[in-house]
Amino acid sequence: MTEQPPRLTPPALFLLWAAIAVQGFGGTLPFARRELIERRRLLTEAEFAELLALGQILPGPNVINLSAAFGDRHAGWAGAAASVAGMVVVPMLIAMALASLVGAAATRPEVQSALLGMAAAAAGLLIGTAWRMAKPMRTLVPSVAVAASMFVAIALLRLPLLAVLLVALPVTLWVHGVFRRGGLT
Amino acid sequence: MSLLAQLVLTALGLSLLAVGGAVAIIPEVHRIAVETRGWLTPERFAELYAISQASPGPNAMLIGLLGWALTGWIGGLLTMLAFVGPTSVIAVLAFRRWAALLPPARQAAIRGALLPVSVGLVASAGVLIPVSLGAGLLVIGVAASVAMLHGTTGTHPLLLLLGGAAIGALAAL
Repeated sequence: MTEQPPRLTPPALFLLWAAIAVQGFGGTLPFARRELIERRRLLTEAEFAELLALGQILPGPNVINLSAAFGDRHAGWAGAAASVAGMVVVPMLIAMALASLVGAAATRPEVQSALLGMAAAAAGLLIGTAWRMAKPMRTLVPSVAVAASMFVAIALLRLPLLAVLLVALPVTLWVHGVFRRGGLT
Repeated sequence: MSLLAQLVLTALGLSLLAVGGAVAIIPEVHRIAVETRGWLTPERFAELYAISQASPGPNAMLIGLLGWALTGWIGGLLTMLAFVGPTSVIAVLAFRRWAALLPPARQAAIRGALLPVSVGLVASAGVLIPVSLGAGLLVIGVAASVAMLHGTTGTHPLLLLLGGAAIGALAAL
């Protein structure tokens, strides 16, 4: 990363990521892109893409991984901690407040039915998201086979995720040719 | 072991399983919280998931809301921080040491290999929630309609959640 933009302090990093997070209805990525690249010019498009690319390979929420790496570059471990805290603390307070309000009203039958409808919609969003995510792989036989096997193992057989991943990760890396030509390192 | 300690330990473990993003662990949270430990009813689980999606912020807040529902506000924050802690440490170390070692082409290959795993997990979550809610006409109808709209149009997710709530409220009248 180029060092032209000023280094941000941990409090400034906390506020930056909290501002990104509280805008993030339905996903924080577009808002992170807009704040960091367009509004504050803290990253270039290429730097952002590079951070996100590795963030997507690593375990954990992609944008939170990105925020940790970004904070580390500005202020080391304190910067990473401040950025991640900014991403989760304020949104969690909002979510818990919302859940309290809903809980107080949930004795009424129409509110219960509304919650059921909203939960069904949230599930529908997941199915729609899976379909959208699958766009680059819909015609790739190995990818479709891996996705279908995951669905059978998790949704139908209800196997523990750790056990499934211990088998699925080596298999998917192998069938997608990641180990070819010299291996991973 | 106190409930909060159990929750924090569960969140620490789930953190490392979040392949390709936090949505991937929803089926596992459901398995642990609803099926194995009996911490939540299926309805309460689905309600907390819907609230996490209707709130601004990262997709992972279901974990924090699980902590909140069982142990209160402090527990909610601690559970959430436990979930993002280990992966954030890994992310910092990875970007410091490994980013330069993995050429972009290899990174893209790994991403392509992880994608179907994530897709299978997200689709599983989308099916598990309606099934655990009893798969009645309202639930299946709303879930299927939202899946179609979200999968094929650019309708805002928040609008779809509110639409689902409105249809649910109307169905009770």
